Amino acid sequence: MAGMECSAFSEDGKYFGCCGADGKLKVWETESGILSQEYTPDLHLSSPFTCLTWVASRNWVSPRKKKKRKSAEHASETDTVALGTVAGNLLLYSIASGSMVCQLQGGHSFAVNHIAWSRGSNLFSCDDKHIVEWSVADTSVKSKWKVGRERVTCLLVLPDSNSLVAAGCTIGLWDIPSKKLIRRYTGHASEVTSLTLIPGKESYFLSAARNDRLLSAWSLSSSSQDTNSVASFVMEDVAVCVSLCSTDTTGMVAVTRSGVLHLYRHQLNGKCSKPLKPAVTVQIASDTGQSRDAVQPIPILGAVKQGPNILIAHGSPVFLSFESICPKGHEKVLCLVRQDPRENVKSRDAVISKVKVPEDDDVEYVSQTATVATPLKRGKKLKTDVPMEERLDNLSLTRQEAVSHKPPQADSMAHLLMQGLHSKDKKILQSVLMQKDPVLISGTVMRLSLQCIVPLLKELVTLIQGKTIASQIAVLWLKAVIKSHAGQLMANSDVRDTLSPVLGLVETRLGLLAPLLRLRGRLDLLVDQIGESSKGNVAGDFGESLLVFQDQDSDEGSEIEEIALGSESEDHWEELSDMDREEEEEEEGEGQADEVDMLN
Amino acid sequence: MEILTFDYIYFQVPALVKEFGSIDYIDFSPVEPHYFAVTCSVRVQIYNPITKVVQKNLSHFRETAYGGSFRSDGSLICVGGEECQVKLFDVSSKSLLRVFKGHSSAVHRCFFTLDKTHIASFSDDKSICLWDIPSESKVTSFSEHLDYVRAGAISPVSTDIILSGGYDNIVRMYDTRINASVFNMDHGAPVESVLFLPTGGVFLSAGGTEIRVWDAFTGGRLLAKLCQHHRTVTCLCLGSGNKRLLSASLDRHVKIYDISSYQVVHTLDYPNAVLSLDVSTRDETVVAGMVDGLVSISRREEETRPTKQERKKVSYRYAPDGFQATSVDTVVCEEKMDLISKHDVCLRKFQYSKAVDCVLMSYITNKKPAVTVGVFQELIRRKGLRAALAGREGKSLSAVLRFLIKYIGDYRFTRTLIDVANMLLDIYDGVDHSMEISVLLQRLAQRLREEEQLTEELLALQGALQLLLSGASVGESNNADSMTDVTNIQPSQSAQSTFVVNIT
Repeated sequence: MAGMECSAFSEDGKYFGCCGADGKLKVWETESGILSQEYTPDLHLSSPFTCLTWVASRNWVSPRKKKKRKSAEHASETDTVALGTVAGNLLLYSIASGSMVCQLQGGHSFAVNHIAWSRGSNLFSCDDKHIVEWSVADTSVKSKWKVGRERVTCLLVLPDSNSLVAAGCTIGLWDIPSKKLIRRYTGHASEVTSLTLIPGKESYFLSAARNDRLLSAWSLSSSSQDTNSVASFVMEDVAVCVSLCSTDTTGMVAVTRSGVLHLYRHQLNGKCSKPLKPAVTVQIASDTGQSRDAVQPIPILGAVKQGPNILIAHGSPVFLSFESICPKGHEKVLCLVRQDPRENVKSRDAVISKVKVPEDDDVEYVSQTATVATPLKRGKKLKTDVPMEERLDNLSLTRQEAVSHKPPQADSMAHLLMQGLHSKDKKILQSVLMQKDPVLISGTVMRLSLQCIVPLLKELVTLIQGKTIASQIAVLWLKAVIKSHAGQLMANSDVRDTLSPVLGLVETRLGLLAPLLRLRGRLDLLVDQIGESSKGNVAGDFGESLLVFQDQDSDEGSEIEEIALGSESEDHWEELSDMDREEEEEEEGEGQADEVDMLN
Repeated sequence: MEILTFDYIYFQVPALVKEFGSIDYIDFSPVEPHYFAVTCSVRVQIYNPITKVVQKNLSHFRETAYGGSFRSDGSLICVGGEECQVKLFDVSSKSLLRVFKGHSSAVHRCFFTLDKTHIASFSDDKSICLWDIPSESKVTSFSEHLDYVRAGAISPVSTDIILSGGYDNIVRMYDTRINASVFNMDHGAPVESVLFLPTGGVFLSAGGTEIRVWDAFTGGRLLAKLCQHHRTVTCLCLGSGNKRLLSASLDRHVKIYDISSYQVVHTLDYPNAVLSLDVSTRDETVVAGMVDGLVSISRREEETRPTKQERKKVSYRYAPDGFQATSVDTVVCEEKMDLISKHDVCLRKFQYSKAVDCVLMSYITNKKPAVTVGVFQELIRRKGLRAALAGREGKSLSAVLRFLIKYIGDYRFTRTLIDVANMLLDIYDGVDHSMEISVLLQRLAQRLREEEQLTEELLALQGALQLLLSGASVGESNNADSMTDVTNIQPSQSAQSTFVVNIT
């Protein structure tokens, strides 16, 4: 499955390993949230990784002391990543040493589908047809057997027993020493993608299948010989990651492909026919801080349950963030608002780019991750391996932006306008005609070809009859047209007909001007009064301190005078305006009567 | 296959007349019956456009004559020629009235000026002369060209503006008041013909394969280039009431352009290279002169519309007289109830306030503001506006104000809305307003200020437009105004002494 992403938390949750489409293994430290290791294998493009499993190295490596590694390294508890490749090899990568420990070859002739491991057992892997048991100490195949006709896509080694669950479309329970099929479970229609053990007195295991929105639970106890699933859990989308804690079995988390986390709190006990629903659903959204519509979901990529807490990884494979959450209470849906990790990086970049001197010809990388990406890897490797997406993000594009923010050129505007007039495209016309800059307008009109002038004129005549803003702009354009094409317009005898609506409009508006002005004067007075009354209080407060040098009596007198004058003039004005209005109404009464008839 | 466009039908197949020598110039008389003068070889033939035969023949020439053109009243004709003279003839009597001597080389074009008392002549001696007809003397001359001057035009709006085009590629505009050229334009090829559009603001020059359009108002700005011919363009003229431009070329085509867009609308094909072309005032006749002496006269007959045939009588053979078929079934039309809108119901019940509330719903104010305004108008008519607007508070008052703010700029509604606003102020003048209302009032005032500003700008625009339109009407009125003076000019001394006998 080249190009497929696989990711997993280490058993203790300290590390998060991810194999991306670029064929590299990346390991994050979950505590600090930084990318601690990056490993590019040889031939990473020709034989990319297919699967990834965390293996605690002490338990199975240290008893067999024959490893090539130095004892100092594996004396402590070290985490190791087992990786399967398309070519059929297994790689073991040690986090502690930051290098590949050993390579297991010769077991598979096809791509490795899955690797399974459990404390106190050997390493098992499967390809489409075979299951191979590895002896890691001498890097050899311990045993290999064929599994029926079906593909095997997933394995689960049961702890402290000699049995193993292998799943394709059907799930089989195998006895390892005898290589015999003990039991068969049926129920999935598609290939199983993940198997998870639920430890306990009566043990169960969970399976998730491709394109299946249900997790199924199956009983492992030998007492029940039921081949059907015991219970099923319903999800929003297909599961990519299922996790539960070995010490606290009450909760189980599942992360779906859509980036939502479900938490189930069911204690399995016997059969349950109804699909079980999640107790809590967790989503993460970014707060862009711009508007309510612009909320971007941040997908959750993986989760591991650690007792009551859940450690989650969210973001994109490039910018991962880790967080431990502990959903309590009874809300069914929990939405977390987090800053987009990408934004985070950008803002940091912006701070940096302010300091540095921009250079003209050279592209610059301003990356935080480039410095964080650690030394590790095998011997030769290096240079900074910043993915392309990140490079593009980090390109300093200030110069280009400066160009793009310039106002449009009159030349291109003229072309655009001509195109718009030819095709009568409303959008183009609007984009051009809504320009207000007089210089730009006259430049554009000057460059217009003669064929476009009459259509433009018609367009403007319709525009000028529209709303106030459109009308204002149309006036500007019309003036420019008249200025630069007067000769042509005069030569065209149709121009009178074209322009007559404009003249009519002007006459109408002119007729309205007098009442408009009167109303405006009235309103202005009113608005001023409101403004004065609100200011009045403030002025009073100031008054006392300002009046130190003045005689108290005379000041009061003058204030009174002012008020008296003001009120007189207002009254006078209102009387006048009332009289005016009455006259108007009388005049207009006749005209309006027939207009009303038409409207009704 | 030709597409039958309007213009194709309009300009029809021509009749051909053979003349001697190449046809130098064709000019239509501006007055009825629109005779046209064809200048070719040593004579000027005046044709009748209807009968297509020679009506008159001016033959007082020893050498080739050039550029015979009518005066605007059609009574005089001036002709240049190889004789280095400009001759003036009376059309009706064919008598030679004046001879203007002074050029040192052939005169190819000569035109009467707008005031009818002067003649401008364009000569191969690189000069342009202006002659006074009554005194038979030279008024002024310009010799700024560096090569033959073969093209010229007189401004249709000003008596003082002359345009000339020379073989030195330059088009010059002269003002006789300052006795110098005003500005000059480089055409890029020897200029064969220049032409003013009737408003005088735009002129065209033809030369090479190109026609260029210039703007006279902006100091000779190049407006357009028309490259529709593949040989030299020889002649330009206007047709269809000055809405069409015709250009003749040596490539045997005449192209017809729409003058507002300068797009070719039609093409006429001729058997030989076209040297000269003219169209009568109402497009009845198009005459083209060719290099080999053929004159093509195409005349558009007044079309007679085929009248509609009367409908044949239907046979009433089996029907008795006065029979009328009656339908047996009586059809009862479904009575449709007119839907009465809510506000109408309210108005009917005199619930004015409620009616206003109805039409201030956001759907109506956004989609059908005319309905709202109509209700306001009706309320004004019923004198119920005060009642309808009174007693509003907070939300309902702000709804009215918002409507006013939104639509008071619409010129269809302004008048009514001003009344509504006044009424509103009457009612709520003394009331202490909440913050929101006072903000809305301020916005309304601001809005009115914008309207005012717009009206001011529109008035300025109106001024500009009126100037433009009056300028456009100059060309039209000019033709009509003066049929005043046709003073009988007596032949001058020199004219009488010139005597040419044609032996044909």
